[in-house]
Amino acid sequence: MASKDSDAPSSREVKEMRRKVREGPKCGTPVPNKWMRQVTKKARDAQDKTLLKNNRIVSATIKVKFIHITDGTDGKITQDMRQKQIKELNDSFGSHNIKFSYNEEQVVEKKNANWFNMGYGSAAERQAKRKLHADPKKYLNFYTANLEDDLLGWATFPWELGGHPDMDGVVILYSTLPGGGAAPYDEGATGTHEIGHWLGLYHTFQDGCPPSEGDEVADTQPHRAPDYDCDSNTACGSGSSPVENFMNYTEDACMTKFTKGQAVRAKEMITIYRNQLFRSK
Amino acid sequence: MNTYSLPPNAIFKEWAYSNLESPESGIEIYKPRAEFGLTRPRETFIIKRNREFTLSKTDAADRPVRFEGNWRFKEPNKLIVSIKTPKKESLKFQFQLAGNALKIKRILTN
Repeated sequence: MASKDSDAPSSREVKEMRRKVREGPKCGTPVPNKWMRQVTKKARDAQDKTLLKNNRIVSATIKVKFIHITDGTDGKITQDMRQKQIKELNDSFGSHNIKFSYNEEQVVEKKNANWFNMGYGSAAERQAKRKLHADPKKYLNFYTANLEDDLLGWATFPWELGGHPDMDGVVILYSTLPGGGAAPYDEGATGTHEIGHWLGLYHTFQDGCPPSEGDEVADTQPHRAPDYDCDSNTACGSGSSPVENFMNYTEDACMTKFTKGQAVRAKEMITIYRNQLFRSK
Repeated sequence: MNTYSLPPNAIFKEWAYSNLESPESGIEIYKPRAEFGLTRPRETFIIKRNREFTLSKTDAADRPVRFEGNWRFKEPNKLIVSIKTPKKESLKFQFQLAGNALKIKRILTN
């Protein structure tokens, strides 16, 4: 459920925003290119013009659909791991009034050795998602599998939902769920990080130092490169890089926070692209 | 028969980004990919003896992107790679082998 500010925008304004979302890119957009930048800038501009200001979701509970792909032996996720992952998400986003829930009875476990070892953009990913996904307008599809290319996870951005609804969601290396054994990345922060992307957040090191547009969030410290441990510092100029931020690349134990600005951006993205999450019954 | 100058043998492997030597230097340190084990995404590249070069990165949502190209060695320590990344970089860098690490300084061209 979501609660909203009063004074909602006119139906014409909402219809126009939805049209723009629906007619989003039809092909892959691998980097925050000019189009992405324009779209997200439009969100901020729209806020200034009161569309978002009046309709912004101030709190939200997102329903997670866990879809676990296994090879019959590896990849199995226990109820305890799911509950701890949801707790990790709520600990991470909850202080910003973005919360997560799931229904144990709706969990999907699918044995398919080919899909289990999926790579990004592969036939295995497409087939698995087309077969197993829940309605992306109503659910966050949270896939777990064993990923090619040594990846811990990947995500889709909210502005891609219109063009590729079946591909929407996050894909996570199964052993990164809490207790999964992929130390030092097995405390659930990978899920949190990828959901950050799913809510429209960029990496804190996106595009490096100013004058680049960075991550388009004003209260994150820009830095020139990813940090991989808690002691790293790649800050632009003086100060420290945000090793504690979930949208950096540090180990799970370092990651503890989102900034207020990141939460505002995530809620803007929900308002514009994912508002139907809260209209389902 | 054509003869080519070649970089040191130790350069022919998969390298993964490790860290910046210092913010001011602009020097990036790469280490053999195998040294990192499980890790969050790192830019990697493979330099093969047959002059093939593969650059692997991840995009803004951690999805892998790969670029194939060819390298050319310019003595004493420059590698010029003929691929174009989306940012219109021609990969061209000076390198220095230091123990098991490869220090590179990119020369940006547009």
